[in-house]
Amino acid sequence: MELKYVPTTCPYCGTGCGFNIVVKDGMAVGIEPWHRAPVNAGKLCQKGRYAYEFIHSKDRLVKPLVRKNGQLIVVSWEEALAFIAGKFMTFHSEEIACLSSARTSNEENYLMQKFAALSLRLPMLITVQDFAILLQSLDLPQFSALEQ
Amino acid sequence: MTNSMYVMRENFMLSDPDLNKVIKATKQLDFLAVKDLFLSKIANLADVALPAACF
Repeated sequence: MELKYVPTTCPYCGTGCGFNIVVKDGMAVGIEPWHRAPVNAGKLCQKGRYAYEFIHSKDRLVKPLVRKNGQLIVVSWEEALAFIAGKFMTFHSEEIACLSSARTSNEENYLMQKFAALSLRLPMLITVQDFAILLQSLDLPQFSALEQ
Repeated sequence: MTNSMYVMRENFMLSDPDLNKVIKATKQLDFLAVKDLFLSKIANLADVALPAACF
């Protein structure tokens, strides 16, 4: 039996608390405090305390799915990525939106904005808070049409 | 005008306050790709659902 602690960052919210995941024979089996984590100094909320449970969940998505005739069908990574790339090439950059999440690391969000700015050439990058204020101030016709 | 969206690790069916508005707006999209750990409600509406790694 092999038991080890793996220090990592909690993915539940944007705070970025650190903890140790207890790994037993390659399986995550528990959470232990990481006292030297700069954000939370070993303390955790209830969600972070049990943040290992979903890692090996049977509900996890493991293969890419593509909708064919209204049904999501399992396909290979190559086929799914080629399909996405082909689809995005048919749109202008003004017609594409990317939405990232607070439940990812800083590094992943950085890569997302890099993908949006350099690959998709999106004209605008904005945070959720700024976006909410912008929508209120603009009163866009397509959004007011949705209200009715 | 056509619209497309790429969503990473976000389920706005859950986080947006008006569910009917979200469903209505999502159905207007011509293409929706979602990357998440699970097949969330928004991934169920997507054209492509990609699995994500966690930690």
